[in-house]
Amino acid sequence: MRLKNLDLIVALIISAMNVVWALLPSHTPAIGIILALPLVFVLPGYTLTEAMFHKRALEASHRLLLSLGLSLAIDILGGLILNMLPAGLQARSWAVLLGLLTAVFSLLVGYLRRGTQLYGAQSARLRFTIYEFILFGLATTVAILSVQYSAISLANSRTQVLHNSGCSHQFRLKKAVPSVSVCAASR
Amino acid sequence: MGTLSAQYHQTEQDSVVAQDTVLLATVGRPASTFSHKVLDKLPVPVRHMIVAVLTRVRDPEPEGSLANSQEGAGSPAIALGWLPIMTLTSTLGMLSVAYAYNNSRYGGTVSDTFFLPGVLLIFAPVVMRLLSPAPSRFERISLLCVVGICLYLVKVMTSPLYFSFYDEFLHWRTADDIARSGHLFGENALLPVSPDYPGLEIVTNALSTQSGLSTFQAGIVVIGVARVVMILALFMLNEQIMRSARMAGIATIIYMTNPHFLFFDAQFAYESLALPLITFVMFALAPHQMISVRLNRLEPIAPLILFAKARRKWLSSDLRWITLTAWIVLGAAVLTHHVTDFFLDGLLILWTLVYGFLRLTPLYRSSLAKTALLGVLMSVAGIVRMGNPVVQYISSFLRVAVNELGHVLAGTSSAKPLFVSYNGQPTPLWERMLTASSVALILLCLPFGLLCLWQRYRSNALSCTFGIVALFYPLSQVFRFTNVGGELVDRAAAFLFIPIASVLAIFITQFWSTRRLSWKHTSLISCAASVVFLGGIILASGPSFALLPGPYLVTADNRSIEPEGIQAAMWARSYLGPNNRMATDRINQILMGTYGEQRLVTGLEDNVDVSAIFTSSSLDPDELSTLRSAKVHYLVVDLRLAKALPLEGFYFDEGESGSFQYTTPIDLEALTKFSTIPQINRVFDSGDIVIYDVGGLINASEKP
Repeated sequence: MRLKNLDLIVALIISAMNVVWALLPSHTPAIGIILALPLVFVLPGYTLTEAMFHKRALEASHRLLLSLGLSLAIDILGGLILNMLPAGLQARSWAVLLGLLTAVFSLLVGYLRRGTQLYGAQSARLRFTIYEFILFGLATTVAILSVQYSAISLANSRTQVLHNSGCSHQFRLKKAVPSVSVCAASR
Repeated sequence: MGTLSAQYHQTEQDSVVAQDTVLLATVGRPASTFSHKVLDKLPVPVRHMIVAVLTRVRDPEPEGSLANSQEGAGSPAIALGWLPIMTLTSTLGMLSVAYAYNNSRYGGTVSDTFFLPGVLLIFAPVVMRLLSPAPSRFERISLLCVVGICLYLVKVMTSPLYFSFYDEFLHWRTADDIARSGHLFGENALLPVSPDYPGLEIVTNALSTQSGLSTFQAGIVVIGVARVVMILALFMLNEQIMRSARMAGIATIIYMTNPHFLFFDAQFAYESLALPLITFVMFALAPHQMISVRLNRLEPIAPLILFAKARRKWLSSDLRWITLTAWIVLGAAVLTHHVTDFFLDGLLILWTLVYGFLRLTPLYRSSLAKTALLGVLMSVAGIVRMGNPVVQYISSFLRVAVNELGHVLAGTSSAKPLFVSYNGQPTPLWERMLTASSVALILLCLPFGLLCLWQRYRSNALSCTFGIVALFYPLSQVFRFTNVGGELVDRAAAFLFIPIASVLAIFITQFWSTRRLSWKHTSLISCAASVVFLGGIILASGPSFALLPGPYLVTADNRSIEPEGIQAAMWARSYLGPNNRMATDRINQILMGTYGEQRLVTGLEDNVDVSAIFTSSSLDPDELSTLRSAKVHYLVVDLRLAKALPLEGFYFDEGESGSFQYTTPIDLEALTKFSTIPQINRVFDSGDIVIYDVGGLINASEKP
């Protein structure tokens, strides 16, 4: 049986995890990214959208757009609020602010949804055939390879430029002494 | 025989006129006697062409039953259609572009062979698919997102490891200042107005502090999300106006042909986030007219009929929430970018006036009018906030552009020659033809699009507003004949293409209805769209595709960002400390201001022109006075400036003497004169970049 407010429960859990994460002394970047992305770009806007349009059966595309757009706006306006506080814009203050907003909106939505049935007809499902799955997999692989290729190409070209200028190691030897050339002039 | 021929010809002409009259009548409008008389006087081919145009323009259902057969209504599975294969072709286009970039970085010449075909492979197949009536709504939206993201990654791949676009450095400085201090509204000598519009930097800060990503990495993600919001908002905005997913898809893909879509509005700069926000505001307010009109109709009967009362309550609630949604995002947009915000204010005011002119509902009760007023009030509040230099910043730019245009029109100065770069490199003929064709196609199709809009959508206030705003595009083209104003035209295109895309989508759909759409028509329209797309890329990329990766060029923004300059800036941060007052050229300014964390003396912040210090053959009293008054402690001299003309037209600042008119590079002796002055110490020398300590010369001993 599908939980009526499963989406709100997930939102609350992610918000709480972000607050806990922000309070930890050390962080693993990968986990930080996974937690931060939904909190910054999705949850505040999604819960506010649900609160405002709880009576409407919004299409998925509209819901997505409203969630992203309102999340961006809430982030910007939230930054203005944090600026007024002594703590300012930091990881903890962000996690607390966005988590708090998400929690408040979620509780409001839960209250507004009470006594209402699960709305909307059965939503259409996204189904992939094996052929489509392979094509998407190939496309994703090609996209990642393209970006990696560019990154490696740029890194190699940087190294080559430094070698050509003869300066690659001499920067580190430089001390703050006046009138000392870093490397042989190659004008 | 001649008489018979003449009689036959006359009979044939009468037959054509009668046929034209029938044609006009069958599309719902009786051929008036007046138009019949006017048409009679025209030559037959012209008359036939006009009738054909009017027939198509007045077609009441160009999409036939397509608009009514919305997929997904009750269907259990979402049709992916050609989405998987199109996604693969788009990513193959990306691979081609990546290869072009790699070759370009090492000085290869295959960028044209692989870059343009690569972006075309991303763009053109999707255009053809979107023109077809077959795809589902889900497929259209997904295809647009795929194209948008792939084109965004084309920009990311120009520099996937660090910022490389000029404007990105300006905002990076603001973002880093916020990260360091934890507070907003600091100072940024590189772009003094940037801290007053910190929307982009706020979101970037939220992501980077919580995730641990660097400013660069977080910025990439933020702009990527903004790109998705832009595409979705454009699609749904157009869908609301035209009531057709197909037309909305065509309008959105046409928007992507604007010159700034590929690079400029994909960079880490405030406009890249503000544009999606204002498009979202328009999308949020688009249903306003329909809801308000319905509310107005229910007003008299609502107290009497229960159903009407319930319906009125429902609609009022909808109107209230969409207005609140628009206001929240409007507030964010005000904090993000000044010009974008002003454009939205202007559009809202115009939209309100058109709405009032159409007399749909009382204006004083209209949420649209209240939103326009709120937008203006918030913008004014932002402007008058103490210390906001936006008025001076924008007015100085506009003043120079308008003055320049005035001089050109008055004949007191010559118009800027088209297709000529400032460094003397000629533009190939095929590039000239492509760019000219892209502008010409839009100018040619716009009148027909406006005619179609007038026929079908003139009862919609937003459509009419779009029609009026689209007219600014032809007017803006005159600025192409000025130096400073040329940038204005391309910057304006990002805004003007929102209505232009709608107008052109209406034109395409009316003139090539689904009933008569064949593969030839689809190919023709796709070719035309591709010409506009490629022409726009060439326009925005500048001469020699300067926006693409490649070997160092003098004062060429992206092409001047390279390791030696970055290393020099990092050295300055490590050994000189931060916040030293420095004077240098355009490129080293942004490097020293970001990697070096130095305080640059700039024309924008300090109102000082430092160019003469570097370009004069000796340090005269005037130059010394400039050094003293600006309290410059260090000079950063890039000796490569003596090797070539500046691609941007100036070395230091747009306002420097000689800007856009250089015929020879800076004299090398002028750049090396500092070594001969005893009171000046050379503290750094990488071969091309030399840093001089002029403190001894001017007693600039204190840091700001």
